[in-house]
Amino acid sequence: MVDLKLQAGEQILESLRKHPLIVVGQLIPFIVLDYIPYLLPNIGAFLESINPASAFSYVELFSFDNPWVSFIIGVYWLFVWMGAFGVFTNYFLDQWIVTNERIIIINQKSFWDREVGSLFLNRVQNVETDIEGFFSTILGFGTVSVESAGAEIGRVKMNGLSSPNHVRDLILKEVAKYHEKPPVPHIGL
Amino acid sequence: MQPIGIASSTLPSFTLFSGSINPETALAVLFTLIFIWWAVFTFVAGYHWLRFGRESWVAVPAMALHFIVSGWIFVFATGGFH
Repeated sequence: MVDLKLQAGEQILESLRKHPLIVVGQLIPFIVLDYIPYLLPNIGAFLESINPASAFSYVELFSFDNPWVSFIIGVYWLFVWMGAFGVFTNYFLDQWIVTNERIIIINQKSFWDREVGSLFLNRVQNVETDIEGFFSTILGFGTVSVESAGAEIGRVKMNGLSSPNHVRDLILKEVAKYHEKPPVPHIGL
Repeated sequence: MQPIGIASSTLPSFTLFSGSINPETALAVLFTLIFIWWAVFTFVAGYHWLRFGRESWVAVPAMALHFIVSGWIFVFATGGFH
């Protein structure tokens, strides 16, 4: 974690990501796009059937054996792959890290767009979970919201988190522990 | 090592305005532009993985997968011209 240094005595308790099904759902459009070129031979056969007197063969034109068709499809697949890989990269670099001092929120929106924030446990007022819908309930993912007092962030949410109830319990346990700690004496004030 | 050649018989010729475009040149230029785009993307993705995700074991396999899949696609795209 290059962009955030832990404080002295700070320990990472859990590093959290969104449920893997979230990224699978985000990748489904790319899988569909990948299959579109396989329709080309059918399109060629259809065009040939409605226009049999054509000067050239639509079947040959849309065939994978045509080197230009395979080149164009290859380029298309390359861009689809780059899109899918970018989505997976952004999914993987999105993180919540719970330490014994704070919650570190890393939001990788896209390449070159990365937000890193901290919510200190002494400011946490409320932790909520929201598990809504059939798949979320069955597969155990949902939203965790943490409300803070006086912090700039105010309320932070992480959608699609695995085991949200476990995360809520962990944060609440650490908040309780934090408040049990003796206050740090301020020397010289 | 022999240079990769493109069989001219497989390439249709194009006529644009008054002049004609050599299909081999057009393909080489197009391929180079696409390769540059891919190389920039790969550099950016690799930078993000290695800077922000290097502590995870997923970083190296993810980049390896990117190279393998991209390599396969490049071979597929250009294989018909050999």
